[in-house]
Amino acid sequence: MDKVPITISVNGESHKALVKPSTTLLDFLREHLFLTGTKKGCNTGECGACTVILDGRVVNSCLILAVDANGSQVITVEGLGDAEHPHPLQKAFVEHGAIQCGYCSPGMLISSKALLDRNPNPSEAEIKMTLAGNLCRCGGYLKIIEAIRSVAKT
Amino acid sequence: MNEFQYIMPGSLEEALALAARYETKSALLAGGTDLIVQMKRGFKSPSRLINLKKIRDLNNIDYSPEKGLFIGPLVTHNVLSEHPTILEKYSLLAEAARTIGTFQIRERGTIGGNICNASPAADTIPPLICLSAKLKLESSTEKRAVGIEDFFEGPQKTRLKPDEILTQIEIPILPPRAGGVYLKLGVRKALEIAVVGVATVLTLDDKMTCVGARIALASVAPTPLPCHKAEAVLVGEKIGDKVIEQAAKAAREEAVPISDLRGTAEYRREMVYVLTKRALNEAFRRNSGIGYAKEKEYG
Repeated sequence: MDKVPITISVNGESHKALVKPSTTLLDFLREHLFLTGTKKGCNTGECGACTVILDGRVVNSCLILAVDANGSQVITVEGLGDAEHPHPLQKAFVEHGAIQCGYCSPGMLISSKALLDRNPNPSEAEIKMTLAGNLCRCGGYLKIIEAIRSVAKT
Repeated sequence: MNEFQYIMPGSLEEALALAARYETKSALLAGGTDLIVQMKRGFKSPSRLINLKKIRDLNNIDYSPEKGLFIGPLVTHNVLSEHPTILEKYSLLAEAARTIGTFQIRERGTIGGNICNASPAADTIPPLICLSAKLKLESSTEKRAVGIEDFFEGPQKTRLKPDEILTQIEIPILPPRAGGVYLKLGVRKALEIAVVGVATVLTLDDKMTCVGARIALASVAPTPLPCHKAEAVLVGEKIGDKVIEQAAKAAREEAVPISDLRGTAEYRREMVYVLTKRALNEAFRRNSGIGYAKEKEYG
């Protein structure tokens, strides 16, 4: 099948590429741009490891075709901060021990960043509702919620 | 996932022409939260994907007190569940949308997709049946309206013809003392497919007599299931313990569930009874302004 030209802005940087229509946004980020912070877990929209912000909306990048994201702005975990300049949420996750194996962390961070953008001081119930689409198989939910609340309060 | 050709028409006319030309070989892409999963699993392998997102007006919500509510098929579940008019006048639809999948899925999944995917467990369909929604279906040669009750033929099967596109969902105005509720039973609260879902809309007159009743169920039949016998029990009656009990029993009789990994047929039938009672009580409480039809705890 014919490849399709796309232009996608990721973390503020514009990328042009030719992709097969069957390429998901997740695979585009990981395999074409080598932004491997965004994780592939279930690959069917259940675990939330692949969560990114697409044009201001929190979505599962495994359920979105790269061609369908043409012309869009994407924010991945790499866009939040880095080791030298971590995002307050990234700092809080480290300080609260909210990272165990780390596989869910990029998705957790993206979901909680978007939550705080919508509502700077969410209740615990709101945090839980929002993170229902991000599974942590280490079972580190309490520390994750504590970390988010510590940022929400400041 | 299979390889396919990707087309993004810029107008409805163009999309209808494409749908007519390619018929069954193509699939329409809305939110993709079901379709992409089905393609990954090999359940569907369309040779062309027609993305509807560039078509104007398919994601609008319009309301007028004279004509009612008009919802575009590309409206997402999160938009539905937060829309002020829907929350105020058609709250059961917002409630149902809020129970779907996860926040991420609700940001992307659409009401049109939920309808056309035609899962017997679809959460938005029982409320739409109770609200007597009409579906506007268009092809390049014809426009028609189908009552949502008559739209489904079986699991994943609808009366949508291969060259047609669902272009609008129309919901009539509700009378003053009318309103309802959607209750969903799942094993857990998030990312759950209903074991049983119950929607109801009750219409009362000034004397609290039921002048209209709609009940529809999810996950207990090959299609979303309207319960006309249970509805008939309520109409013309003063709402109270006894008549709610009778209606709930009638709904239990109408359900034709199967046993699967989410629940047994026996359990589902019993939960239809429990949840229908609960839903009718709650709908009465919301409409009457005088509290529950009965005071004691639900049984």
